[in-house]
Amino acid sequence: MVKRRPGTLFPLELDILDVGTVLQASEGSFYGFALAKRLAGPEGKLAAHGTLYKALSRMSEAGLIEEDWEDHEIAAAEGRPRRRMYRITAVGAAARNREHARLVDEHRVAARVADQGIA
Amino acid sequence: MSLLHTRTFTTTAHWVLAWCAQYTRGLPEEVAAARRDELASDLHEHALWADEAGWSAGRLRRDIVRRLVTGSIHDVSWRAHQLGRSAVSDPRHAATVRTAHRIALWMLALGVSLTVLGGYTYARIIRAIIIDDLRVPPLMAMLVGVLAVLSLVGTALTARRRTRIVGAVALAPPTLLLGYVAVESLSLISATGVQIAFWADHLTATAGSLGLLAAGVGISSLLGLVAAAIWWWPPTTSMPATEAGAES
Repeated sequence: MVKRRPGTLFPLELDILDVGTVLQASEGSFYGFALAKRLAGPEGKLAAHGTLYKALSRMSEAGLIEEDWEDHEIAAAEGRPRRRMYRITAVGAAARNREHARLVDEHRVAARVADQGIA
Repeated sequence: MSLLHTRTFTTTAHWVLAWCAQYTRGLPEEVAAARRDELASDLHEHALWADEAGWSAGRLRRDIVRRLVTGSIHDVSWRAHQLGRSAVSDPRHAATVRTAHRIALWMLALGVSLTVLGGYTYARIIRAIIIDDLRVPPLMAMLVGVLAVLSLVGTALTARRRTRIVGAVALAPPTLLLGYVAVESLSLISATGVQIAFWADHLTATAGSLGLLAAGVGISSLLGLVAAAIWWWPPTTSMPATEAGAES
């Protein structure tokens, strides 16, 4: 797998943390397809299986999210395969905040350079 | 009718899970099962979502196939990473998997080489017959044809774990004979073949040296093939878990 620069996140990882934070706030946890739906945007283009689940696997190994399988009984009662449920960890939440702060800084620097260039 | 119960969906879901079975081969069972279960859940939710959105079965299939194809590179990269992890946690298992892959690749390479050699030689013989250059005895021409077909069949059978033993049996005659027969045939119908045979005899000061070399390579390759067949025996899946994972 591609190695992440220390202290940074891949764009998809940041998206997953952003969407996961919203889903976790309302549902307590989230699963792969729920993420795919939210990430799809208005045109409804779902993330590829390999891309999404590889990213989740990598984030889990990095401790950004934790995973657990849903109870068989819940899934059986609803007549569907059980879901692998994810939760964002404290490490993941901190990484998300750090990445947003970094992006804001980068944006400010870029805006300043553009302003100076125009002036 | 719900899209979940359409033949189109079940077939497409089967493709995704079959691909999953391919790229999780040789991985620890719990890792493979987790990926399989997660995909099964994803496919189910995808069909329900498509149902609610009023999609046709064909549109759902296209979307699943798109997700499958565009993510396949990541699947392969994920597999490589998981193999690396299992090598760290269980080096013996990883070594077994690597050996199994190398043996399977060697058998495939042997089969493909024999098929190409047999096909080329047979094509040259046919050409010689068409242009009335009938210097190849009919029995030898027939033998080359049969060995080329056996090579092709053996290669195809070698590609699957369950039929690998049968593939090895099919490859045995061409492995032993095809090199020698091809050299002998080409030295009768090909000017280049005649020239190469002449140089080889001159260099080694031995008449028919190329044929002897081909026979030697054939015998040693046959021994390798027997060793590979022993490795893959028994042909069923009733093998220890570590070796079952090594299936390729």
